[in-house]
Amino acid sequence: MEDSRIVELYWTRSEAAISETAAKYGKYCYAIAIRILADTEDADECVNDTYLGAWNSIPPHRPTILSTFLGKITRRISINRWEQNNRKKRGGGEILLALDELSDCIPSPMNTESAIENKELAKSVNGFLSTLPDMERDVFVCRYWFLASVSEISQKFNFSQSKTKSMLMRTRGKLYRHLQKEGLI
Amino acid sequence: MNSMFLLDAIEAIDDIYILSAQNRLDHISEPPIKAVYAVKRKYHTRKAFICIAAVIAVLISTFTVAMAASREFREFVFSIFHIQATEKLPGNTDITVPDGSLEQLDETDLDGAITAYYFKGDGVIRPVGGLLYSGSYDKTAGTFYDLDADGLVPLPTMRVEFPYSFRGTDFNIKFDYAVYRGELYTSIIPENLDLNPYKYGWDLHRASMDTDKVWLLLPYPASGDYGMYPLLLDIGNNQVHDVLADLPLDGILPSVWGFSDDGAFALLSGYLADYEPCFWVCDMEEKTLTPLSELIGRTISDSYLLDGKSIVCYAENGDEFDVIRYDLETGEKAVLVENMVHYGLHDDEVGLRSIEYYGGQGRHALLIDGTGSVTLIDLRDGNRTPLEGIPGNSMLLTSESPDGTHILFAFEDKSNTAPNTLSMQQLGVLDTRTGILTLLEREHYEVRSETILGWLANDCVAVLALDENEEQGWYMYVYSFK
Repeated sequence: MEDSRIVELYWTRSEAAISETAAKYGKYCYAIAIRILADTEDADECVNDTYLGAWNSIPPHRPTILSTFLGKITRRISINRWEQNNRKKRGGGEILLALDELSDCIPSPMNTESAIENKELAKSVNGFLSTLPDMERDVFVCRYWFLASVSEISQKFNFSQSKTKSMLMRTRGKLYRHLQKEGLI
Repeated sequence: MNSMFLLDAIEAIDDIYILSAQNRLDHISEPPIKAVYAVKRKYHTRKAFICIAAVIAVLISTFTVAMAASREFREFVFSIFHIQATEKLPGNTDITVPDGSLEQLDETDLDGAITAYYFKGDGVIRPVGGLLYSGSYDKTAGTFYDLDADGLVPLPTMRVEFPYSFRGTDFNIKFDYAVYRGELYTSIIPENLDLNPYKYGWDLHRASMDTDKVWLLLPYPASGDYGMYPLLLDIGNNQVHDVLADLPLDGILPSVWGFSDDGAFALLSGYLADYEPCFWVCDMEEKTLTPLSELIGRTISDSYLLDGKSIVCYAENGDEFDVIRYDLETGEKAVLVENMVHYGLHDDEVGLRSIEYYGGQGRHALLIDGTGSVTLIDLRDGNRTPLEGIPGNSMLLTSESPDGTHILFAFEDKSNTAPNTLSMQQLGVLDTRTGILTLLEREHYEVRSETILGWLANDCVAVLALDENEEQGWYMYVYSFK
């Protein structure tokens, strides 16, 4: 079913919206969740919560790209779940590694007062991504948006793992300098 | 602010960036496929028996293509040999295979050019430098196998186990090994295969200069990256030697490394405070460390050992790069490729695509342009061979054999969106010495989730196949190209 039809089902409050979403994007959302959580049961629950989140968000939203809209919900819910699990010392998945890597870009702990608005940081990251060559940007997004593992990225891009890691390391360095230049860190 | 704050912010990036990356991860809708290790736990034996008939369409087309006239092209004639015979993939079977073992189901000759072997197994399997290793979840040692004309031949396999402490972390070093035809083969035991070696575990790497020793790689998280520190392990007495101990490594965190065949030189990779990657050549006898950029006279963005004697360097050239070979013994430099971009960066330009070799990069590379035309480049001598008739745009995987004489090509059917498969519609092996690419057209490959397992010999490739509907074991297809 076309995305616009699925969105229309949400707007008309038809429960078929959920089943159609599950049929078309269930595996997509699951792939995002399982990378973050590394737990099938938790991932399944987060995917189901994604449908609920979409149900509660549409309306008022009318997403033009349903896949990324759903993907963002799944990502957010899964990260929240991971944080809960991590507090209970049962976190896993790629997120732990990704967080360690991203600490490159934030070299010193900052207190709450100096923390910038998430929106401002997101805008800056967007601007930074626009300066990257396509492939380097895709590798970065695969790693830190989709939380894909280095080995999976290497396979998809036909890179060696060392090359993928080297590219990510360099991109993180560029991001660090970009955030520094913009006065955000 | 912490890194979670940044990870949150990344969530809000433009959709166009997400979609672009999503296209790269073209099987994003499926859970990641394990590319190297086959791990499937034993469940209850499934009663159902699903027969899958495999009928291969015949594609008859053997042709020869003359080489281009450029003097840098090789003179031999490159040809594609299409297999005409029908491959019959085995249907699902309820044969119960003991954990950690393999059972041959069938063997088929395909046009006298390929012998296909079909196995069913359970437990863990991985290729190890031309042999096959099969292990189990229990505590008994696994088994190395060689594949000869009579099928799989089990080899005497020994186990090593000892505790070792490195920089405050305790490791239980446990692996199986076999010595076969004067070579050492090792495999860490199954329970370690599920661990991420960069964060939690350790790994082994073949030490080519000494068959009694193996590189023991131990992790040390270093400012967000995950270095693997190489130590030399003597298998005879479990003695561990820190061969980098006397090198001036202050302020350098080596994360990627390689040693020349004779162990006289090492290539270290790491980074400095400005997060720029840096590469060093170590003279292991003189205990000196020289930045590769000084030796080449250019900024180096990537580098790897080519053949145990020389190094391939990607030297920055504005937004592009040049590929330079550096001879470790003589210090000679040769520019192999100029003004290049990575394949896929710009659709209308010629891009360089590396060929995988044991998880790294191989001795050959491919030049592919927007139309999909392919040229093979030998990075040892710079020779180029156009591979006409090869659909570069459909190239899914490329991998070099252990001795670098053969190259595996897997081509995908982009229209196939079947879940959990790499859509390997065609498998081919190019013998770079004869210029003959033997190409197998495949059908019904989508019945199982497939991935390339690796090389079992210089002309023999293994494909792993998992069936989500079958609760026990996995299948392995072995193609021996003649």
